[in-house]
Amino acid sequence: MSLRTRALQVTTYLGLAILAIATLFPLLWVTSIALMRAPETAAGTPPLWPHHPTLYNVVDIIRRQHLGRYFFNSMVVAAATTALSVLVAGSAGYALARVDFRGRRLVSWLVMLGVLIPNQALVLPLFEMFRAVHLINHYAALVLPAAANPVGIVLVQAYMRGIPAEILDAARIDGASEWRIFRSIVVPLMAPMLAAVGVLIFVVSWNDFMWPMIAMQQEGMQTLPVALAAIDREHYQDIGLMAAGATVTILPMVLVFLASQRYYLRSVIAGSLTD
Amino acid sequence: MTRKHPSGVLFVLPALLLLALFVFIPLIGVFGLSLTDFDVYALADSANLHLIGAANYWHLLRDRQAWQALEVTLVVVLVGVPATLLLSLISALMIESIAERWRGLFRTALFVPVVCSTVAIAISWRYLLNTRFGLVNHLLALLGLGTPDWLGSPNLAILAITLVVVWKGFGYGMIIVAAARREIPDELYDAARIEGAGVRQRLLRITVPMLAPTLGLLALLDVSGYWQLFAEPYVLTQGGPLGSTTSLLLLMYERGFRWWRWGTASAIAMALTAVMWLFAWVQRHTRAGWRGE
Repeated sequence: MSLRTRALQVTTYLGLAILAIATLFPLLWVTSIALMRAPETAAGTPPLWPHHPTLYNVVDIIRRQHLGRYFFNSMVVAAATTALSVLVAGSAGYALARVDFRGRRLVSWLVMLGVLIPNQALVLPLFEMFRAVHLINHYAALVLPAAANPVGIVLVQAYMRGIPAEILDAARIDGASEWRIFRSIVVPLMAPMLAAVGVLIFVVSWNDFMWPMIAMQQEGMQTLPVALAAIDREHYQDIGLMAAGATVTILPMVLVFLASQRYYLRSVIAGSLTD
Repeated sequence: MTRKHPSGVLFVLPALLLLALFVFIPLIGVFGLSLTDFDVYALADSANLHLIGAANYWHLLRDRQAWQALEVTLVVVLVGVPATLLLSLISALMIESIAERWRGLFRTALFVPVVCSTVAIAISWRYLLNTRFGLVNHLLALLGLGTPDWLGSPNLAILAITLVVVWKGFGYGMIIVAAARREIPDELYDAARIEGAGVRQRLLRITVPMLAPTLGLLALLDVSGYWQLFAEPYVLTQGGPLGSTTSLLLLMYERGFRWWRWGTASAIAMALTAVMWLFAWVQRHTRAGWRGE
């Protein structure tokens, strides 16, 4: 190996190490502050590492700010959104790719158009609609709009196109009903992509902010990020408390990502190949 | 082969229903609202609601806050998107060039910010950038450099927000560029090497041109994401100082849900959507150009 190649290699590792420190360090620092108590967090720059690690702040924010309640809300909303979205995107993506029906091209086109509409620009009429049917401050106000996710449909559709149609045709010749084909053949075939879409939607739903803040105004109904932003407006000077809140909000999604990385990254890559 | 089957409609019906209810009807709703003087009085009594045509749009043209919000959002897009693309590209190429067993580790490390709640990230960065105890200025002071008031001065605050946005976003593109890089056949590089092309030439003559379509798509994804900037300024600066970090969406939110001036807020939302369509249109056409080469 020439000296130049060697130098390039060392530079590459060094560059990646610096980038990795830059991305991870802020997260680790905040986690570390969450585990500190008053003298360390009160004066000047907090030390990098808590000398006497304590869960005081975490317990404090859970007790005083009822973070458990918001955690529960976020879990319910993210889980329901994921379940509904996977069901909807799975069936629609399959049919758009592999079943011929009248109006298929129109539906495909509508889905593509949906991708191009910034959903945060729609919050005003959405608020009016949910207010009219008295669903503001209900989980449904977060779950239903989030399940109208054209990206999930496009991902499943693209994945199904990559699966040979012969497998389905054989089942059709055997006289299986469309619903049975879907349930016992299609779903297992696209399971990896459904898992990918599921994880993606779970994380997006957990982190969503603007619409949940508008739709959940009643005390106790907020999701974690919405509650965190509200607590922050009052307690931003309590760095230990806020660091604990940020950690509790971030950590579950990091764990979800670490556990499902293979699927998660697949949906990211697939999303870039779809058109 | 696909078969004619009427039951296909049943499979797409739930999706169609949800999209109609929560995307298309609201879009028409925003457009409709933008043509009215819907405000807090109309909210109380619909007799106070009038159609006023394009008046909201004309007012926006003379609205200094709206122009400032446009400028703020454009700065984040014009500075943030190229910076993100560059970081995504460089980190992807670096990861693809190191030994296989280390790739997963770095990929995970650089991607983690993408899955983190923007609100929580913004809170964290506000402490990092704090002038009194923040780590960033602590480090700058150790290096003997200046310790600016990141979030307190109008010019720096928007850059600080862009920094946070880029920090959180580039890992997403890295995954996509790395996947596209793996699709480039090795033969191209082998042939170039035989021809005597060096590292730089291979990068500029093979890698970058082959990745151009991917980077183009990524640019659109980044633009449409950054164009909808909201949570970062909401938490980090609340749009200040002096409105210097109030993005279009933040302005729409304030007009809509703090002042209940839904007419102007809807006009802002429509303008935002229209510009995004313009971005998509431009991207589509440049890509067609690349394909034609």
